[in-house]
Amino acid sequence: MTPLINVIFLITVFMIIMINFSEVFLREVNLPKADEAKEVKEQVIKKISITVKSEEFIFLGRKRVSLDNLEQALWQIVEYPQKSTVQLRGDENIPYEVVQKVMQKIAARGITRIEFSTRKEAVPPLEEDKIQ
Amino acid sequence: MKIPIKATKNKVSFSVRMTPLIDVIFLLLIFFILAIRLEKPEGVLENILPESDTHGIAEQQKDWEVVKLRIKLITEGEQLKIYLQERVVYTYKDLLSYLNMLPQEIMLVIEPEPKVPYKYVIGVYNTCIKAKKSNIVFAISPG
Repeated sequence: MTPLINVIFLITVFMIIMINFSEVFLREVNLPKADEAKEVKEQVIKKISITVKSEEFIFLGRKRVSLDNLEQALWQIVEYPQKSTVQLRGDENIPYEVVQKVMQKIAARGITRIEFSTRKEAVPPLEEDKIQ
Repeated sequence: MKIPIKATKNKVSFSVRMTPLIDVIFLLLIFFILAIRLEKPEGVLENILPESDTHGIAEQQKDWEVVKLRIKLITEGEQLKIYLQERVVYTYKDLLSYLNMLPQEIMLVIEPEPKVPYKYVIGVYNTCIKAKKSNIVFAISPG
C-alpha cells in the first residue's frame, strides 16, 4: 500500500501547488526594467500592492478588482491615505493609459506615495525595440 | 545429540524503505525549482502623485513657481520619439545627456501618449532619475 499512498500524496501536493501557483501566475506580470530602481524597503508604513496585467486584470493585493471599482476598494482598505504607499506592479507592455487610469484612482483616494515596481536590470536600448 | 538452532526465527530484519525518502526529496526538489524560478530581483522607483484627486500635478503646481520641461513620448509608426519640448531624441542615452545639461531643480513632466507601452515610460523615468533629477511628475489628465 505504501507506494500507492505515496503516489496519491504526491498527486495531492502537486494539485495543491498548481492551484496556488495558477493564482500567482494570473497575478504574475513582466515588470519593466530599470537599473536605477531602489531596493524594496521594509514595510514601515502600510503598503498596498496593485498589480495591473491589463485593463481587465487588475488586482488589489490578491483580490481581483475592476478598474471602475478600484477607487471604492481603496476606500474600503485604506484608512489613512497619507500614511499609505501604493506599489504599482504594471506589466511592461500595457499601454500607459491603463496605468494612468489606475494612478487617477489612487490619487482620487488621496494616496500620494507611489512606487513603480521594476526588475533591477539594465534598460534595453530604445533603438533595439520596435513598438508593436 | 543435535541441538536445534532457533535463532534464525527470532531474527529481526532491518530494511530501509527508500521510496518515501525519494518521494520527499523529489517533492523538495520540485518546490525549490519552482520557488527559484518565481523569485526575480525586484526594485522600486518612487514618485509622488498629485494631492488633488483627478487633476494632474503639472496643473496643480503654479506655473510661476518652477521651471518645467515637458517630456513627451509619442509613437510614430514603429518608432518611439521622445520630445524634450521641441527637441526630438531617439535613445535613452541622448535623453540622459540632454537632461544632464539641465539644472537639478528643474521640474520634469513626463507626458506619454495613451498607447505608449508602460516600459518606455519607466525607461524615461529611470533616465530622469539617472540624471539626478528629483522633481519628476507624470501628467495625469483628468479622468
